[in-house]
Amino acid sequence: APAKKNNADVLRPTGPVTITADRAEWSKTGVMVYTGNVSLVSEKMKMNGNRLELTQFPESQYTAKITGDQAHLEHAGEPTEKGEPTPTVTADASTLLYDSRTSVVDVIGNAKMTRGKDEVTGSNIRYNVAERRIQATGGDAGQVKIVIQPPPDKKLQLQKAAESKAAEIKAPESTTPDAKPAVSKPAENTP
Amino acid sequence: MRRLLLLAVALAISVALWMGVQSFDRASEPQAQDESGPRPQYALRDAEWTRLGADGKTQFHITAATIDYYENKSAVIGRMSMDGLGGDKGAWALTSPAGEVPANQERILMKKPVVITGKSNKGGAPMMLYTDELWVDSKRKEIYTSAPLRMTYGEQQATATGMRADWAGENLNLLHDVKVTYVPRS
Repeated sequence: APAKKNNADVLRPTGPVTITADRAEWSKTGVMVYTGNVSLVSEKMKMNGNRLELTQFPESQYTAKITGDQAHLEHAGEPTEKGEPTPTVTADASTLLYDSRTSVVDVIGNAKMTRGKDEVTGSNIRYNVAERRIQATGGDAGQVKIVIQPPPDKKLQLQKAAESKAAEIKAPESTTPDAKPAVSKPAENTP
Repeated sequence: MRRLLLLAVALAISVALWMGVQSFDRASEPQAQDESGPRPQYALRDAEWTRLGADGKTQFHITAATIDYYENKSAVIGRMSMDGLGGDKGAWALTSPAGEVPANQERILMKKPVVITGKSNKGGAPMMLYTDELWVDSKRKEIYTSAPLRMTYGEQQATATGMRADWAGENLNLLHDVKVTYVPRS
């Protein structure tokens, strides 16, 4: 029976990968170097930078090392089982190192990751693409910093919705075309 | 006296005849030039051309339907295939319907459609490149083009403009507008 796929295998991006660049150098060692306006686009993930070293392995696996002033990654969110959208994950650093065999991106050097409004910064961050999990460790440059935006307060949301509805109901009375514009008479000699 | 006169006239006629024949001979020597342009020094059909380097090793090997080789070291080649670039381990096999060696140059221009097969692949499908023209340069030991090209290599498909590779197949550079798609086997 075929080997049972583990969770990472099931979630790993398997579609075609397209790389565009100004130039490319292929060498017999198997390493391919792309330079100038480099972009790597796979199913749901996109990485950009100035230089990309791509090393290929059997079974279409590969590692992609992208460097740049700031190499950039975007991983589009996927709707949950209930169909709710999940936010895009982004990463910026001087080096992004993606390994398709482990489905992990190492975000190295002046690293910053965001998920929606949440933000993590540190010297090294690791992002598991398949499982969308972020792991960050402090380093010489100091501790990891994380800012997590509080989830929206449901009660507050309902209250705001009610208020805006009430405002809508009141508004049509005063703006129906037939009604005379309400003119407020100047008060006569009232103190 | 009359016999002497007859003898002089006969002598004059034979001298005239002799000079005529000489000039006629000179006229019949093969002209290097005629209406359709210079004529090849060697006109070869179903030919094989092996070029050796100063070290006596094979530089390249061509088989062609026609090779016309001229005195100014230019050549016109018809339906050619080429391999052995830099010796038996040469990485490339090339085919083209027409080739041309410019006068006094150590390179060959192969014309479209040019098909390049990279033999350096370990057992897998070979690298294949398709372009409209290709220079094969004996001096630089390179093949190169500035034309657009298309390439397939295993699961990869690429397009680019301009390419340069060494004869041994150690390095291949795609020079502009590179787009590579890896289509993983599902």
